[in-house]
Amino acid sequence: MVFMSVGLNQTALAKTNTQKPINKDMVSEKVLANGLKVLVKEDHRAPVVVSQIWYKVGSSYESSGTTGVSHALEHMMFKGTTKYPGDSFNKIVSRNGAEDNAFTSRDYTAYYQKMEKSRLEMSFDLEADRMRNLLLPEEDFLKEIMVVQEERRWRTEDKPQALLYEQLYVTAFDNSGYHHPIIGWMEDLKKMTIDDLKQWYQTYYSPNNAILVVVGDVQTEEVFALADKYFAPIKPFPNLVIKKRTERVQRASKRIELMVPAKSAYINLAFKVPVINTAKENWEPYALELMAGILDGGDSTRLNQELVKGQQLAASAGTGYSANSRLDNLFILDGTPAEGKNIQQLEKALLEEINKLQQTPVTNEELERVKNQIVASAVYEKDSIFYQAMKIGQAEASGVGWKTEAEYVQRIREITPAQIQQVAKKYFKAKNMTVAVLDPQ
Amino acid sequence: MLTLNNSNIFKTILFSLFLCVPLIAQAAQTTGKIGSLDLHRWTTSNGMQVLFAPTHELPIVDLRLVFDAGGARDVAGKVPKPGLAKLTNGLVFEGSEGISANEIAKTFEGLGVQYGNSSHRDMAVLDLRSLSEKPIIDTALNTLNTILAKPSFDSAVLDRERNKLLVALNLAEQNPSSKASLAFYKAMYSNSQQEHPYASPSNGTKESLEAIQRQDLVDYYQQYYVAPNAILAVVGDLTIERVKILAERLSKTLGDGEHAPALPAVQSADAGKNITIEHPSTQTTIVLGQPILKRGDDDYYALYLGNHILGGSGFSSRLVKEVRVKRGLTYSVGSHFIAMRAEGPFQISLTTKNQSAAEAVGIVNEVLLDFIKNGPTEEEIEESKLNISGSFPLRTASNKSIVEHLAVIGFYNLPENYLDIFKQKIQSVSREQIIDAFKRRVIPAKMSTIIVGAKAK
Repeated sequence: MVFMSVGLNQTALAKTNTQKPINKDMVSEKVLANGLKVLVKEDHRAPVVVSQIWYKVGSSYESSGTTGVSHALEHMMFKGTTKYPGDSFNKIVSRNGAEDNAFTSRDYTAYYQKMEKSRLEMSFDLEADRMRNLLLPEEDFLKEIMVVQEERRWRTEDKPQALLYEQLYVTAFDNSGYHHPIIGWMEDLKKMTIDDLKQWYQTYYSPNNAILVVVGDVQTEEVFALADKYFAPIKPFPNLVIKKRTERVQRASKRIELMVPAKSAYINLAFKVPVINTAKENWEPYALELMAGILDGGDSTRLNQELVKGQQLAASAGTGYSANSRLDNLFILDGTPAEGKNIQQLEKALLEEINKLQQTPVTNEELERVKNQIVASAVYEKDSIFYQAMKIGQAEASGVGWKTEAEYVQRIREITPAQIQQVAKKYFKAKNMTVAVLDPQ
Repeated sequence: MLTLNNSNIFKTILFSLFLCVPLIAQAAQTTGKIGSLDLHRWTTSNGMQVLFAPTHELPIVDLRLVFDAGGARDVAGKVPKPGLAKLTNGLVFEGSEGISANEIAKTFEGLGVQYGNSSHRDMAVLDLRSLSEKPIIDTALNTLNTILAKPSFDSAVLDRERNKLLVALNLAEQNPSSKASLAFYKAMYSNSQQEHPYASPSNGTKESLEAIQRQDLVDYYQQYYVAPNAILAVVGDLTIERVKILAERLSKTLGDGEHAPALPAVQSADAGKNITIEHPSTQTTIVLGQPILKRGDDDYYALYLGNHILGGSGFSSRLVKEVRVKRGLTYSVGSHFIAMRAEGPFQISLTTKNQSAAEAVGIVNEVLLDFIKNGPTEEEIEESKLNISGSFPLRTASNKSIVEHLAVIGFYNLPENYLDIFKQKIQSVSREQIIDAFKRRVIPAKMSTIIVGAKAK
């Protein structure tokens, strides 16, 4: 099970000083002696709780030859321990009425259960157990790696736009861990062995490389005590060293044309940009978030107004930017040409939109609109305990930290039109660009 | 707005939709509970049903308007117009007398209001999410009323949105799952006896889209987007007095009219169809099924619980265990019933590499036949019941999920306490009832099988 960690590009800002008290924004933190960070946020609106455990390992930690191992390990985490062999895990979770799943991204692998509030102990028992005691039986692995291959076919091989997105990253990144796909190359999956997974598990699945996030109708101190009970006995791996594989400076404009069976052309236009975790100028990622919002924050924003409605060059056009990744990432503009229009026209129009942002500062009115959406979104998010947990977990797993994440709205508010123009000029240059075009066969 | 949807992130575990209980007469105002919230239900003076659950812990309001104006109505006129429901729904927010599309977008987005629309076979939906602060919600509602009073259905806008749908058809052509779904509905609902409205492709065809004119949308809106054909579901930080007023106003804006007539019952053919479609993919998409379930069906609970065990509960289900876990043949496999206005599908679907397609079809049929013949075990039933009751609180854990429930309760005329009824009825289903219901209702000879993929090399 794979999750494309898309930047949560919801950003809206309101000048509203809400008169009603909102849920406490309080996250309580406790780090156990073995390094496990436990974060708890109380939300008593409904008698439910979500518990997530995030391991700081994902595809960006992998090397050529064993790409996809983080995700394959995620699958195998459901295949049993000594205490809970075979499919016991699934049985217990199901019997307790919990909704569970897991996802792997470039920077993390995470597991969660959403359940009625009294079942939290079950969750901790299972997660603590499989953090250290996973059996990794080869027979199950040989079956499950076939399932992973089917997953790759389902997610990527038979979806032209997914193939293009994959090719975009391969082309854009020379040596960064973001180069290869989360699901891994089919060639690597076919040669993967259970020993690859064992080695991975024994390197990265350690309490000092993990974060436990709990959001819901719980009492913080009780959760800390429960976490202590189940997780404290697990010994950390003392020699865990993470090499940060940073991308070398790009000095070449890159372009590819993907030729695969398809019925519609498609384009991804990408530029290398910093993220919250890497930016030397702290404000830049927030300016980039707003730039994404100015272009694609809704129907009233530029790509829809100009390209879809105005010039009618695009059937759809959008942006993507993950401010919460661990390493420098891509700011992507994508588009599908309108009926009767070609991809070259669309590419030109997308570049023109960037040029406009470089030439002229956005208007205050436009910027306020995007900020208002961000602020409102921050309120709407509180309707979902899962979403709240995701924000905390992603921030922690990427290195940003929940405290910085909590300042997000404030940092967004501070960005000026001049700053947006600045990042547009600084990062959106030809020699920082990768263009990936899908040419339907 | 019409959007080209290509998000495919989450695990494909499909849950059967809700339950059926016999239709009840509308009371003046009734009160019940949904989750831990109060639920108020009434009808406005000109016939719009309203369901409201107040909750004040978050300063937000969720509003969902549903109309019996889905793709099934595309064929209601003298000339069938597949895609008409979708186009009409898609253009509601694209400009009205008194407010342009751009002003709509700017107004809503400037307030941080989230708005959306979607069109399905039974329902047409309009959504609004707003902060409850008075100036914001008041402006949002004023805007909504202006929009709904008289959408422009501008010809140039129609052309543009039509073109988007044409592109969407191309995208569907390159997607094996969309291709399979199209063929599946056609196979199930179109036969020598009957061309049921559910056979009609809701996204239209090239020909049908190109033939649609502005007047078609105007007429469609006038006929179906009316108070007696609408349900308003509201959850959030408002008082009942406020909601009464806003509902009455919306109802007047939508105006008088008639509730859409009942859909014809499905007359299934004697035999299902087997259809194979060549497609250049590495996987084969397989879909099997037949029309079975209408809202109000007495067999609902037995079929629901049986399906949970067969293929509706992920890793606890037989299909996942046999096809995925035991044999590694698929990432995604499952089964579900959809209860609709007319008999909705029972559907099993999966994808597997081309070389395994024949084997996978064989196993699925084996599992299904065994289930029909021998039924579930008592242990399986107990596990499923535990899962369903244990997970119940999750259904009403957010305002968003509650407003969705309310819309369904309203649309299908279910009683306010239907969640409680559902819980009870599921717990009392017996093994014999499951076996009996599956034997009578799920008829392998009547199931159609759609296979989309490339020939195995």
